[in-house]
Amino acid sequence: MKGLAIVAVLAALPATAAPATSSPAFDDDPAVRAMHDELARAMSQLALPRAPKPYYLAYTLWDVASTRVDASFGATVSASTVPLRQIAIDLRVGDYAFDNSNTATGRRLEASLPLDDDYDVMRRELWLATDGAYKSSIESFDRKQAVARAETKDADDVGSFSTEPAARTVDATAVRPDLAAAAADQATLEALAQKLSAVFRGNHDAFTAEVSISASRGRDLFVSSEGAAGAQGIAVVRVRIDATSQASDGMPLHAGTSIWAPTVAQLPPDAELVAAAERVSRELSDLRKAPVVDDYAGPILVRGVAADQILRGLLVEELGGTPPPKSDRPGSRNSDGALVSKLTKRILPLGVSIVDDPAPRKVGAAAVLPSARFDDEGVAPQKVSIVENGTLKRFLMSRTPRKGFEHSNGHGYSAGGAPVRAHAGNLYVSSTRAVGDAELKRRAIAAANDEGNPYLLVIDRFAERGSEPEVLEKLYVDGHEELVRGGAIGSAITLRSLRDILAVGATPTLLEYDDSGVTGTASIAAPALLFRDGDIKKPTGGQRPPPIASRPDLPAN
Amino acid sequence: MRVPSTLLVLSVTACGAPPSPPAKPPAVVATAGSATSTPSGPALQLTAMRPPPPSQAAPAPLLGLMQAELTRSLAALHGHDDPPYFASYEVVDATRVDVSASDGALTHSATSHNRWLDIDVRVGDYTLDNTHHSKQRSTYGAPLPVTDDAYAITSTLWQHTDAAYQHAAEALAKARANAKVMASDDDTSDDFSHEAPLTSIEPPAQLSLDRAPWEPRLRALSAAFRAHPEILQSSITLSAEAETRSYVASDGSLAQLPHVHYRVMIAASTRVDDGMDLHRDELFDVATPDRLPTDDAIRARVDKVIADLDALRAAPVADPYSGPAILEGQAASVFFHEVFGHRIEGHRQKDDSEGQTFSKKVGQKIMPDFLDVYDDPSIAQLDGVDLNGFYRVDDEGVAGQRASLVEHGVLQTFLLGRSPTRGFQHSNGHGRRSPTHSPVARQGNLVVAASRTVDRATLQRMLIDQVIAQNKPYGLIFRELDGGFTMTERFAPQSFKLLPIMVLRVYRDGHEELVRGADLEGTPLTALGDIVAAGDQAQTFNGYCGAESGFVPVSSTAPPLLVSHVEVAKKAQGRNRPPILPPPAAGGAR
Repeated sequence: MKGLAIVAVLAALPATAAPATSSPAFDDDPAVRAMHDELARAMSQLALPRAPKPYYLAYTLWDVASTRVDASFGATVSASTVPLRQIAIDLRVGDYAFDNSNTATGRRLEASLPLDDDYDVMRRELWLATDGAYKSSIESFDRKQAVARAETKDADDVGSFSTEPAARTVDATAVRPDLAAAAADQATLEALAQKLSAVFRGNHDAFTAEVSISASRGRDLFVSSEGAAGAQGIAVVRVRIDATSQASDGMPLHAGTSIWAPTVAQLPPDAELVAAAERVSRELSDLRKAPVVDDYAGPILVRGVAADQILRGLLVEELGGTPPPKSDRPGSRNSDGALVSKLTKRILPLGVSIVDDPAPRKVGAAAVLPSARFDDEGVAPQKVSIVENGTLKRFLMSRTPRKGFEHSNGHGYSAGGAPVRAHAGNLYVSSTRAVGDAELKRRAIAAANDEGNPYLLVIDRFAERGSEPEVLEKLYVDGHEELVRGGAIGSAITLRSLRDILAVGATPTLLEYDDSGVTGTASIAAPALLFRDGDIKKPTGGQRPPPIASRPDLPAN
Repeated sequence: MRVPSTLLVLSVTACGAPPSPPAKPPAVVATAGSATSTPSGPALQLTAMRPPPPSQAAPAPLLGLMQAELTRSLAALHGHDDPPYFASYEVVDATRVDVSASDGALTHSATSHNRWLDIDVRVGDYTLDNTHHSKQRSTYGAPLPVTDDAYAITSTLWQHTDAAYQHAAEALAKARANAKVMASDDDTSDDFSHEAPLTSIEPPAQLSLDRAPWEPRLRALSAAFRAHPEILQSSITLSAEAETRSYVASDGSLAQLPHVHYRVMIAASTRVDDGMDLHRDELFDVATPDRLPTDDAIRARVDKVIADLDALRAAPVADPYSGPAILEGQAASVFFHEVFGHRIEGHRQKDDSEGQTFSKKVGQKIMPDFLDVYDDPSIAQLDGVDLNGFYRVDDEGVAGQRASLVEHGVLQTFLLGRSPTRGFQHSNGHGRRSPTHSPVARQGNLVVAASRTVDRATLQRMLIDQVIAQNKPYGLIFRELDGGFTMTERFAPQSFKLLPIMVLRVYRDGHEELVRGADLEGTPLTALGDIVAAGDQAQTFNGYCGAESGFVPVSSTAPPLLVSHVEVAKKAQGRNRPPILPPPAAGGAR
């Protein structure tokens, strides 16, 4: 994803497999040759009697070395680097108007290729995997067709697969993962994980302290029967710092943070990472001492990474416009996304915009991880203006079309082998009516006063999974803040609550995340949000008491 | 990997390899109506190598850390309501090397090192504790740092000891409440046996293997499959594992135990035009790297796998069958492992949900009097074959001992861990698990011995006699297996199923015909009672056996067996066609 790229985009009509501009290194790559040759053979010869032939076939190859190191309290728990070459196959029978795709039970066929650049063995594996993909595509097609015949035609149906220009997006710097370099990275990261987790030695509040670092390097290749071709680099490093404890009443506590970079060399300096670990350590100790939150209803200020997290939970999955998968039973329908009926309607306050932008950007000092050059359907991601002035304007799209959105905008991704659907890339949330931090706080306090509340709740971070705030403060009307612990978001905050947001901050915070099995990473950068009306429930029910034996008192060094 | 307790599988791809099957006996023309003779030859000869007790080594630092924290944590819990009456830590430190190649290309090559901690905490007392009637087979545990860092290791031990204790205390409360309201148990044995503490400190396991040269070796060896496009999937894998188990218990037991295992596995499969998938595995299981196979030895097995699969492709599909058969090689040893071995695991005798086939049969005849069966983990080699189930101390700190299960056909005892059962108050060192599971009684090295045998030719002649006597068109010989499983729980049929791959029909005139797709089914008591004779050449199966306490290495050794009656079902038919297009031409279309 970095470095000088030779990118050529050439339009060709679908299914004509026009020879695109050639890049010799790419075309001579044994993996590309194997994919290209087996693809050509399958398209011309793969057929079963009384069954439709393939009309589209694409291979995606992930060729990566994944390093993972884990350390606890300064000591390595595991460290490994595993090379992996995996293909995913998108084989379609029928035609663009009606094919086997987007059914409830359909899966993308994935298979492993050998680590060696052995053309013959790769061809062989592709042959077997493509054969399997063809057979399962026919089965899906037959099932889907049986349901379609039993039902009346959907007036809004605009076909199964959009026609797109066959793009050739070849980054010549995207090469096979260098295993020697990966091994060197592993050693560096192991030392780093030790160093960061050692920060927690001596903090008796930390019951567990774990640092997990994962690093992937390599490339992603794409070829399709339409003549599309792509090569892009894969480079991402994630440093995850987690510490847990229990309060004296037994409440489990967690503090943690993630730091991302494209490569090991681009990670922040060690001192900065150590400072991040120290913040986690301090935060855990502070949480242990904090009082428990009370049941609360009223305005809630969600700021920092919590604003990204709440939008991710409420909104991000709804921004994809891919129609729901077709059911395997006539008359049964999978429900459409929550935002489908909201198109052209206001879903956020006036002034708020949301854009998905693949262009390189910085959020404050933090560089957003580079966007993919093409998605899992070989389409280059486009900048999509999703929400304008609070109104929902358009959806993120894969090549599965929807009425009004007949083309992909390059956001088609498969999550863990599931069929490709539209997923967010890099989302940026901003408002033309944004207010500064001091004004936001003033408005928050005013909102609390309006409700007659002595304080309002401020959420700074949610748990990685779920809706429980991990860092939560009381902001008193006199302006002072008090850290509290526990609590869960009640039912009052929903997608609809976004419309009624009272104020939007000016400074976004960046959150990078793994999108549940989707290749690569996604991000969201949103400013603080003042919700008019929310509720927080204090924890109920018993907790396991903290450990009976005291923490072993060992020298930290 | 979890295996439901109803399915006790012998890992399909992990079945052990017997030596080459015996040469075909000369065809024998049998006289119609001739009676089946009883075996009358010499006893089965087996040479067991039990290594002498190892010289005691110094404990590694990890053991000291474990001992110190166990003592400290337990002291703190002492004085609490229901303090633990027993607790143990077991840490498995495992280094693995895996290299795999397919069709001449490398598909995997990696080394890993990790440690897993399992904690067992018992509250209550020996008669009734937190494990009473517990179906919970997972333990409290965690990955542990791989370096002997006192701060990091002790922190993990502390935190998880407390979690294990709190969980145990809750389970005890539940067990006591249940004891009040539920009908009294049929088997009123204690929950935990008293055993003498043990100390056994051996040097840690060492993996003496260089991964690098295996990559070109396996590439070259696996390339033999390239000339056989009809074999759709194939691989050759080297796995090497060095495990050191460190065990400390509150009763003072202390152990440091090495286990080293090397395996070369050849696996291949094909699909017949009618959709039937056929698999063949060949394995080399050895305890030292010098015993790993040479390239020639591997090549010979690769050729055999290819020849077998090609022969199977051409073979007719087996018909349902009921009649006499010879089980030999893997088939005989896995038969005993499934049909008998799993059903004499001690904990199944007191668990009300189990079928308890043999629970009340101690002292009764359950198989012919010429058979003895024992399980002896202390045997490292049998007839020169390294046994997978060799261990000195089990996962409950008890020395692995020979359990003489059947003598002259009469059931004597069970495989026992520290869960006593009616009439058996002590463990015989068979409490086993893989990390993350609670130990239960498992097999180690199961050995079927015969006091009277016949040679292989006679066995075959006796088979034909049976065929004639039962008026069958042919008998069957079962050799290599694809795997097997048995169901022991009460709600399920008390049956077993073996998935043989190499099955021969033997006709009355002695000629043999390979068939494919014959699954061997039956019920245990009948099957054991139907054994008529044993051959004089035992074969060993090495494998990994999966049950509720995880996958553990085992072996099973048995002579060929003539069984008067087996049931064969048609194998479940695969519906997938073979690939539509022919294999791609080598070299590419450039």
